[in-house]
Amino acid sequence: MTEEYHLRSDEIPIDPSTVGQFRVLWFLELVVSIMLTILGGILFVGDVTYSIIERLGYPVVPPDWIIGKFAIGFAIAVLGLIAVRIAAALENYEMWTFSALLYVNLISAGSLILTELSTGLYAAVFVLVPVVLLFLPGVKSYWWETFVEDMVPRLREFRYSMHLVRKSPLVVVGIVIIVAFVILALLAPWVAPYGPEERIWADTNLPPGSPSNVPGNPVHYWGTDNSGGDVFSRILYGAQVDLRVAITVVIVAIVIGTFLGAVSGYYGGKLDELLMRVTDVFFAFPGLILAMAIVMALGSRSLENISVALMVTWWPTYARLVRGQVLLEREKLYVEAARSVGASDARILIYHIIPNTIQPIIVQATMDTGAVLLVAAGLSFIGFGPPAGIAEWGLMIAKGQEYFSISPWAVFFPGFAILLVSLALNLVGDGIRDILDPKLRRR
Amino acid sequence: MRLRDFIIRRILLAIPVVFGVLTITWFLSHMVGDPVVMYINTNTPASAIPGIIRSHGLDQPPHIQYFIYLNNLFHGDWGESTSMSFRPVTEVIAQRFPATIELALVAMVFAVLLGIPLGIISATRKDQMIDHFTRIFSLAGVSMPIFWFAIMLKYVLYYQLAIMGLPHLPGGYRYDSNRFYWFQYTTGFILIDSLVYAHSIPLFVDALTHLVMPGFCLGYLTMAIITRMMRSSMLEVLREDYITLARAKGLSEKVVIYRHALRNALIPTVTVIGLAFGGLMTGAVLTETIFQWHGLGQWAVSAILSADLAAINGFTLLVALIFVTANLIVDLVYGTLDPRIRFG
Repeated sequence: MTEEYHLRSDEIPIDPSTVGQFRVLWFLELVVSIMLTILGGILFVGDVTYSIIERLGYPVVPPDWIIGKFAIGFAIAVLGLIAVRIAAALENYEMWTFSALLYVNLISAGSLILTELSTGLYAAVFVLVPVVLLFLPGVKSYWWETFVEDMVPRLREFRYSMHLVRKSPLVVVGIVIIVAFVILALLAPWVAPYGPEERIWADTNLPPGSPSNVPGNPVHYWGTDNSGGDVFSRILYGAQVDLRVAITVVIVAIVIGTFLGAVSGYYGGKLDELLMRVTDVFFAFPGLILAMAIVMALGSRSLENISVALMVTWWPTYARLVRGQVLLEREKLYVEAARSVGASDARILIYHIIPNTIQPIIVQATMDTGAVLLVAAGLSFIGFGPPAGIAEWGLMIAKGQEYFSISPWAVFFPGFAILLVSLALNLVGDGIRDILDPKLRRR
Repeated sequence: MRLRDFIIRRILLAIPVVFGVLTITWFLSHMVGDPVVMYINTNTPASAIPGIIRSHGLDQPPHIQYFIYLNNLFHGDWGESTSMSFRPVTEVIAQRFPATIELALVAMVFAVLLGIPLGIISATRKDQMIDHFTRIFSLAGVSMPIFWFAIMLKYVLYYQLAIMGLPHLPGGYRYDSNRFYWFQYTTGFILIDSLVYAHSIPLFVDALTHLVMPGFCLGYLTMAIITRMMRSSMLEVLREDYITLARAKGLSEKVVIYRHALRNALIPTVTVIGLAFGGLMTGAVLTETIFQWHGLGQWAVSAILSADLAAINGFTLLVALIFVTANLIVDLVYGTLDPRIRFG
């Protein structure tokens, strides 16, 4: 019995009657990529330019929609540039272009929604059009089968991981806490009985569970603070703020750190030496003090500036981590195999080495999200954060501390929320380290 | 010979690091505020300001100013701290450094004394009730917002106990200045001063009670890190062959763990202890603010909030120096604990 060579779908020649569908897909992806690049570029360049001009002391008022959008703008612009490359390669009908298009467009749509702009929302819908086109019968028959075939082992590994997760109770507890907080944060406008900055002056310093003095108002589950703010509602709205800061900081740190670490680990030499000295310097800094100085240097105390400061202080961790992993992977046989078939350095790095370094990054990122949460809350606690009145956990503790003998619950609950989220993230990080570790992963 | 070469090389490697920290802070701090403020106060007549600007070289381009700063730095002039009524930065550091170091040392004592035994217990009773408890306890330490923990400790151990009329821990400051109004610092370390120079046992006890809460609060994070490290390295060592041999020889479990396993398990823990010293300096910033502890951390916060440039530069430089020194010491201790490691 001889094994018959099984043609992968991308090795089947294109059916001439479906070429039209491919042309439409190619054209739309090209438009999408240009749109993404321009939109992201406007946000990034605009925000940076405005803040530089402001810093130089000229009286400018940046439009509302551009303030603090530099990070997400940068991300969108980069995604746009990747999309340009995909659109250009679509003409060769290579397998990777289809799956890459799927991923990149989905991520771009997500980032566009995160900009919180109405234009962003329309653009997100438009970005999803090529994704829908991928499932036209002619196009789908070309890549879907191979894609599924490639996904099967990954799916099996994923199922096995899920099985291990279910077996470790602490990880499950952590995941439940995190998911609960994320859902509550997203649903805050509907779940919270009061608004984030609402003040009921008749209800100051009420203990947890007491009814409002204003007839018809809902119960204050976790009491009220000294200025009549409902602690429970403010914590829910605060979760939106704090979780967003923590997640953006970690994502940006990962992107910057992975890029620099991978490049310096792969090429080595002078660049590597320089990068390692730079990270040494960052590690010798007292992190909190560096972040404070950056916030002050950026001109104003705000959550945006706290985020920027933490991004600057956090990327070296990932640069170190990724560099170490890349140094290990670089010498392995599969890299040499890729090189011997003529893969470019960029391709080897992006498609072969970085996917193999992703596991320690995930573990580190999970735990760091908790750490960033702590530091961000700490910074706003000592007065580097948003102005008083904003619902943010660190700030709530700082304000509550002044009256903590009268209303200790206004201090207790926000801090307990920080502890709970951070503990959950650490539990998950600790657990998935063992679950993802190939050495401990017995079958 | 080898050890000397190793130390020299490490110091040479540390120079660019300290230099980098210095440079970044200088440029950052000069974005925070106008450096002229360092040299004037409310009594300075406006007509004198241009003269001051010129005499300190502040009309020069930034890079020249930077070299002037470096030059002053190497001549022992770290500038004047505006938030500390224009006293020289070096003087403020000399005065406040002992307070922070004393707090950090107490925190470290807490962390080591609790962390190492907890780690050992957790490892030797793996997957038992006490192990789960210890793991959650130490994970909580890593995820604890230190400022909130401090406030909560203060609320329970100081405020609530005081209300109930029970003996309670003091809620802030280094000693009770109403009771011991006559006390003057000599070395700055209050535990030493009270015994050696002031000959006052009550003052010593009072200072000690003042140290307990901030010390424990600051040490909790470090303790958590030490416990986790100790547990994992102990578990690793207990899997080694020589431990099996020691047990096979019929040695008691106590001897196996404390005489054979502990020494090797301590090696990675020592590294963590050394590195955690840098973390203590950061934690001190928050702890000192809450416990009105007149140390470096509290000074640093007020310096940044009031754009006290010389103080920011001085504090950061000092912490970088401490960090680099701690790393060097860790490497040296590492060598004595593990003779297999050759310096080179």
